[in-house]
Amino acid sequence: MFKAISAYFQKTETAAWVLLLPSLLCLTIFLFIPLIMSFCLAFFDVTIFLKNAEFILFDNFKELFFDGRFWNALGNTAYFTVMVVPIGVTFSLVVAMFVSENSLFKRSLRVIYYLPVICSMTAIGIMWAILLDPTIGMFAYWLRALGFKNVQLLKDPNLAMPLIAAMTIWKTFGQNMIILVAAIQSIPDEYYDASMIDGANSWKQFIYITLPALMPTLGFCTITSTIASFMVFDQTYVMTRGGPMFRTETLVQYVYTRGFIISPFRLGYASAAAFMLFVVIAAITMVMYHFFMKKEAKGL
Amino acid sequence: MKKVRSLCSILVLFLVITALAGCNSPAKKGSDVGTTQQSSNNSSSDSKKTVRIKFWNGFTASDGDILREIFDRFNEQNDKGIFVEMDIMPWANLLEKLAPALATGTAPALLLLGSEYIPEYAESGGIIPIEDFWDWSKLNRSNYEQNVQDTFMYKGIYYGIPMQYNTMYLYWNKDLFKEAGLDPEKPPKTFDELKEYAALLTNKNKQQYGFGIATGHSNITNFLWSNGGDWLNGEQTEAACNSPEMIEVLKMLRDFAVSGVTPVGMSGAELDNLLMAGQLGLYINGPWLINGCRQNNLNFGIGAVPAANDGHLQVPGGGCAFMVTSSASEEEKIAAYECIKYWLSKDVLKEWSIRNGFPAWSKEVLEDEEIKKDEIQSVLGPLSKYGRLPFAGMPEYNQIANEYLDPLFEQLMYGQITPEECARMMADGINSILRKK
Repeated sequence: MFKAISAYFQKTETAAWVLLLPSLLCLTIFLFIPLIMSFCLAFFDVTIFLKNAEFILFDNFKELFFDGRFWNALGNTAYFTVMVVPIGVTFSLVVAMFVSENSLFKRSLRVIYYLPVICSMTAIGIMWAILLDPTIGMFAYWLRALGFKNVQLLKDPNLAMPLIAAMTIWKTFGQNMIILVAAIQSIPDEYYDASMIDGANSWKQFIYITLPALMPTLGFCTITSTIASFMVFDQTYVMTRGGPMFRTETLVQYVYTRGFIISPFRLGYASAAAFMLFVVIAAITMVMYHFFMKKEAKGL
Repeated sequence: MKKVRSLCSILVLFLVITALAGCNSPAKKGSDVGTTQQSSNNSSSDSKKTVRIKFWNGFTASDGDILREIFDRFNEQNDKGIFVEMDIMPWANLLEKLAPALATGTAPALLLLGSEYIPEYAESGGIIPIEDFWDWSKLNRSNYEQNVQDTFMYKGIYYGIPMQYNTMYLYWNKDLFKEAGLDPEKPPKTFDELKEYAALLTNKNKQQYGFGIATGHSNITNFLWSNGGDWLNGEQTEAACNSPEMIEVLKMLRDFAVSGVTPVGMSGAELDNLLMAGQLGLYINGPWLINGCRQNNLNFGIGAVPAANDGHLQVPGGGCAFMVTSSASEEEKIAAYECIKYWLSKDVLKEWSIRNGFPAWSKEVLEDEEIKKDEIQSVLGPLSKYGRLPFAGMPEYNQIANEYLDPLFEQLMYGQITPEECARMMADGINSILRKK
């Protein structure tokens, strides 16, 4: 009996399924089923208490189309992404170039730059909210000492989102930096040696060797950063709660607000908004994926 | 290779079994198998307890310490084997957690909530009628002010037993009054005096503000009723806030923001800190700050909110009530009743009023000599008659406030809309929700 079971598990295919089973189970329970249920809920007028659900087909989506706060949240999310992704990835690349050597000093720098990544976004958000507070914050104090008047920082509707974006870049650039350092270190030295013989300077080496070689990694970093940026929630929730005047309310926060904060807790409507977010992220990811694939195929 | 595969298979099976074992059913409700102990560190008496109930509230300020102390004492002294696990969190977080918890049947048995939330949660079935409490407890119901009890009624049914009742009060920093050349014993009594005092108390070089206006429409209500205006018509069927009285109040509040007398966009908690830090001259809030002011050695005064120039005064009133949620089992409900009964004892209510400054609302406590002699109680007690519940009995209140009143008030204070536009848009917003009823 034991032998039969043992033989069964020793088949490559069976072993693969067995190894995949825990992940598949978790994904099914915590991702696929909720995803399908959320999608189905988008077609119902239903509250969080799941009572008296009414099938309304596309009415939630129609309402979303005319919901100014939804479009405002989508605009804020796009604004955040436009700031965070290009600046964040470029900054990560610059820092990665600087710290890619394996000297003790540069390895130490890598550790220091990576530290914010492993910290909780909530804790970091609270810390920065205090630092950027216009009355008791350190930055406001310094700015006033330098002669600036009416320092509002996070309470300024025009400054709040750029400040959150700057904090996010500081918190997350270490992640992409580490990935890019690994990619830089994997470029064969022979390429650089050959280019030096041909008289290429550092800039040309970067443009014609490093950048093309990094293109798949840069594509990966850009796509994952874009997805993460579109799903921004923790920092805006902790630092501003979407204010002032909804200027930092992001799409995920709007979904959360509709479903869990504002009575009558419209879970169906929130699910429709969440589905729209899914569509937006999927569309942008596909476009970017094709863009980077083409670049890679062309060599840049 | 085969050995490795076998080892992997066994390991994976072990992991799956372990993971599934972790998904066992939760502890039986009302049993002595508890989760984390958050209310007390008294673990020695823990083993004797048989009924553990969760109790959520939002008393995050110094009043929470007193509340915790009182319920720790209840845990030690009660002979019914009841143990209260108190979880204190900011009100905003509590409200965010409550709806999903109720929907999944994991809400606490006992809850403290403001009276304004009763219609919403009573309608959804999240909180249960608590009519039988008085018969069960055999307490003398007439000992407790009837108007306070009625605050927690919805459609003729009681859903909450009062924990405390209060209106809004004016706090002032006596030291800043002296610095500004004002008499620290004479706070502003009217809107005009408020404007005058607030301007004198503002010192931009010191980041000192004359008057604090937090985000949230209740700051309008603090003046609107006194000024003769209202949010709704008498039948609560239509908005009444697009009125000259409302526009006058909005102009006054907007002027405070424009002149830099008040910081803009601050939450109540942020302004509380500003007051404690001695950077705020005047501030309107509930009595929950009294204990914090004392602890921070703030030289403060507390009294009536400035009335309209004709002397008329009416401010938001209300309070907190104990509520039992639909997640509670019968056993937990009785345990919750025991807690409420304990709270309604003269000693506890008196302690709460003396130590925390909340006005007494039990006749027995009001007659107490110590209460009569208490400086704060003698000021706050008579002010209770000026309180009125805003949007009473309206399940749409939360939606109206979140969708229209708070965002529009914020836009007004940031100068994005005029007072006239604000009043009109608020009225339109309220009407749009009322028409959906």
